[in-house]
Amino acid sequence: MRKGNFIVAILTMIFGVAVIYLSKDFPRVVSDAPGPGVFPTILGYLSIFLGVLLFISNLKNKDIKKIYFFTKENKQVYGLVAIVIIYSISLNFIGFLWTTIAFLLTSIYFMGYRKKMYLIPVSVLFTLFIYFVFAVLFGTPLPT
Amino acid sequence: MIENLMAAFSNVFSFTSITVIFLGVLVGIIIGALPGLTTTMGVALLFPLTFNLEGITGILMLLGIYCGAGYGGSISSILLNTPGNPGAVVTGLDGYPMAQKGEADRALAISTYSSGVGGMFSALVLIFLAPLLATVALQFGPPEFFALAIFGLSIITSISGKSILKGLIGGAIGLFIATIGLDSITGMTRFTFDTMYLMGGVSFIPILIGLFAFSQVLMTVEEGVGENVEKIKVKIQRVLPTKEDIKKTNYPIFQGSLIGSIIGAIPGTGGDIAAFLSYNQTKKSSKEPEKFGKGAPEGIAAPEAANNSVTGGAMVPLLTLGIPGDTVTAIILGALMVQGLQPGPLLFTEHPDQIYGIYTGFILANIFMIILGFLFIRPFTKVLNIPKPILTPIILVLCVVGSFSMNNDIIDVYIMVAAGFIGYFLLKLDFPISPIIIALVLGPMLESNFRRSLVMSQGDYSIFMMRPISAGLILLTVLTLFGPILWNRFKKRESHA
Amino acid sequence: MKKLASTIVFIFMATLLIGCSSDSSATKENKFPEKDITLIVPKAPGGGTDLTARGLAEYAKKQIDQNIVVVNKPSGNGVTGMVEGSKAKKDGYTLTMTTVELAMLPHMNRSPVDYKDFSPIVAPIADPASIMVPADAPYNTLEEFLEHAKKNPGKLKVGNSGVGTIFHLASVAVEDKTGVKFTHVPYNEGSAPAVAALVGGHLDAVSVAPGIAKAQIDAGKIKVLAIMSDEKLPLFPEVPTFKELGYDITIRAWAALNAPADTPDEIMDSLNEIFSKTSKDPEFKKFLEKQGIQPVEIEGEELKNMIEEDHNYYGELLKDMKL
Repeated sequence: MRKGNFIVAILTMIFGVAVIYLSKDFPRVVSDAPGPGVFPTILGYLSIFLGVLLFISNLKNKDIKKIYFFTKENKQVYGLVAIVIIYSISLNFIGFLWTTIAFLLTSIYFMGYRKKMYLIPVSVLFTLFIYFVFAVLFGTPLPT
Repeated sequence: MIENLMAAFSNVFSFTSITVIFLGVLVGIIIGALPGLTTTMGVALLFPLTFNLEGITGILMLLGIYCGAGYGGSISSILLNTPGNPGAVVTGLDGYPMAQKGEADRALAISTYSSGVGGMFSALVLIFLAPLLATVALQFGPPEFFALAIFGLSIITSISGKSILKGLIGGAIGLFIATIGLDSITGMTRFTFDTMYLMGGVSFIPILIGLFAFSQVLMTVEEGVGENVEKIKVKIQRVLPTKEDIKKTNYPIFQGSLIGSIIGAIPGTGGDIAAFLSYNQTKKSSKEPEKFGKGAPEGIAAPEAANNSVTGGAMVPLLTLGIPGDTVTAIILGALMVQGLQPGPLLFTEHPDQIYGIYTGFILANIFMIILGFLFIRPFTKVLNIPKPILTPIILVLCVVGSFSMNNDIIDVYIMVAAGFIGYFLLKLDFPISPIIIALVLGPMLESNFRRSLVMSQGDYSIFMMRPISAGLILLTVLTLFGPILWNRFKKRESHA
Repeated sequence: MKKLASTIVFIFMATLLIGCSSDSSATKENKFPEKDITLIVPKAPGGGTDLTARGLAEYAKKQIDQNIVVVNKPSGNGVTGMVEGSKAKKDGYTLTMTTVELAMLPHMNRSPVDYKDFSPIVAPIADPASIMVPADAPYNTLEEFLEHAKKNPGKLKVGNSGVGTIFHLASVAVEDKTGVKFTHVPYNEGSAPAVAALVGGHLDAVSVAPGIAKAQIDAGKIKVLAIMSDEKLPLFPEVPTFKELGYDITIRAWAALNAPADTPDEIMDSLNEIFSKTSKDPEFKKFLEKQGIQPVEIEGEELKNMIEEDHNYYGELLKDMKL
């Protein structure tokens, strides 16, 4: 956690500097009031200030809880995110019904659930349920 | 008065009216519980139906949706930590931990009960105090809105949990995201990198869904979903709140309802801000603030009461002045006008029976909401019995569909996934998520009213302190932020002496 | 369990199939449309354009057997919706409700599409802008108001519905034509909060469509000094137009139904017939009037000319404004 906090503090400071840099070209005053860049610039300085505070307070931090990024569980998380990304991209090309059924089948299986007796009906039923609520009942379009 | 009431009753207590209100509330609860379906969307979709309904019947249906949706958001927030609407974000702060302790039924009972009481309270405010409240609401100009936003943002200090610093960093990032897009005062583009999507600003709902629901799902996956994980034992013992809970939440509900009714009456504000303020005030005035965030009943009751009392409050400027405070009331205004009822002072003298009909229907809608809410507790809690490997992908589909249907834009889905992935790392680093959302909601209000005030005063900063309401709110913010610290110092010195 | 599940699946499928088949079984002497029409509204649900579009879709059902599904695409300030509408298949099944912004945004480099990318069908509304002041204001006519403004340059706070919107342009056009100077206060949340601020005494005047404040006007809280239409509005017969008072300003916030450009003529003919009838439907007109909107039925060449005229006019106005 200590290392993580240092990273967060440094990222916050970089964020602040970036915001200040991106806001530098806006006019300072427009119709007697602060221009578009003033508020973001303040946020930038605030971020730098908070980043520094976090950095300093973290020097005394003795929290030795470790954060892991590459355990088996982590990899499962990344895998799931990858499946969701593939799902949302293919939604746009193949349409809601088929991609969603496929997504549910894959991800439920990926999560370690193997009972086919439930796997298929659940995937199909839930997809149809969502289709019914959104497209039929409320008439809001789903990706096609 | 009596004959008007009688006429109103015969109007409202017809089979059609009651059915329509009931259906409205039911649809509202569903819309509210599903992230991505907004109240505005639901009301806009059913708006054409009101053309064909006689008199105020159609309006009562829209009111039913309005009431139901405010409450529905809390259900998914409590059960899945997936707030159905921004107002339910704070409900989840205590509702989700309580549900995780195996007391989902208790959490839902409290939220249903306090939502209902909040709604009723606001109905009474609407009936008896409408003209007075309307005058107060109109006093809100840009400086007052700025002060209100500042006051709302001060809640970040009380919901940041372990690290106030990280909460504040989250707040700054949220405020920054809110500035992306066209600048509201000059129309210049800010931080859009010449993309068309960003010109309209980053959509709020996908970020809400990503940061809360999606990242939450990823966290549960990381914690393990295999058979070895102990399931939450959901034993439904009651659907009604216990006496003890009612006693504990009496004051928070009263305070929340009051805050909600007032905030609702101010045009341009809504249930989210009311819920933030109410939660904050309840925590600050609580004798056991350390219990908040871990499943305190007051932490569920306060925001829910406020969230739902906003509906009655929002009807105040609508009916008395014909000024809609948000998009939902704007559509209700349209529906009223289609029926030839023009809100404003004349409505009260020319169509008192219709006004009383609206009041009666509004109260009825709240009663239905409570009944449906209590009936739903059993089936809804069963959701938690679904094995995690099945529930998780189902929530993910809801996240994707919800983000898409907000603007019917696939880019919003990508934004949601990105926000969720970032949110996952933030959670791992002990970052509180809610400050980001609160800053996103209040950011536009804060900045544009700050600059709008200065446009009006021609650059004179004293405008914020020369007006009583704005000065009062700013003072109140300073007091709630630094009051406790000073008070503790003072007490310490006393004890030393 | 499995049996139960499959039964439910079957019922679901059956419902869906029935739902689909009942759609396609409908026939009418007119071949078009054979399926549901999608109407893209490049605005968020609940606004004036959205409600008008929904009303139009609802009353058009009298003319056709199919549904018109309203789809809101407000991202990128509505530009994404307009782009998608202009690029849709030219089969008449995807229509777009464009607004006056189509004539403005291209000049601000904010929209890759303009009026040339669409074939207009009908404009059911063309709401003029107006100058409104609180009822207790010391001026009763536009002349008195302008005189007051001339004596206090930059002091009068005039609210509008957001920077770079049509109603902002309206007050800029007033400055342009009369030589006065206002302080513009943009309410990017829309016209309604601007009107609320006027009633609350935070502004000296607002420039919005008169309909949005009909309740306050009728209740005697707000007075309309003048409107920016060519002719007087039947809904507000006493209010003079800017033209009558000698200022050549016409600013109208129209919303027009469009098919993509180069849609085949026979499809355009069917669309024109359907929506021309709908916009002339007395019930649809009543629906608009009750919301304080003066219904119009601008179609064909007239509509094309209006859009082109506005496109050129705003091009010039915006060049001077440097937004």
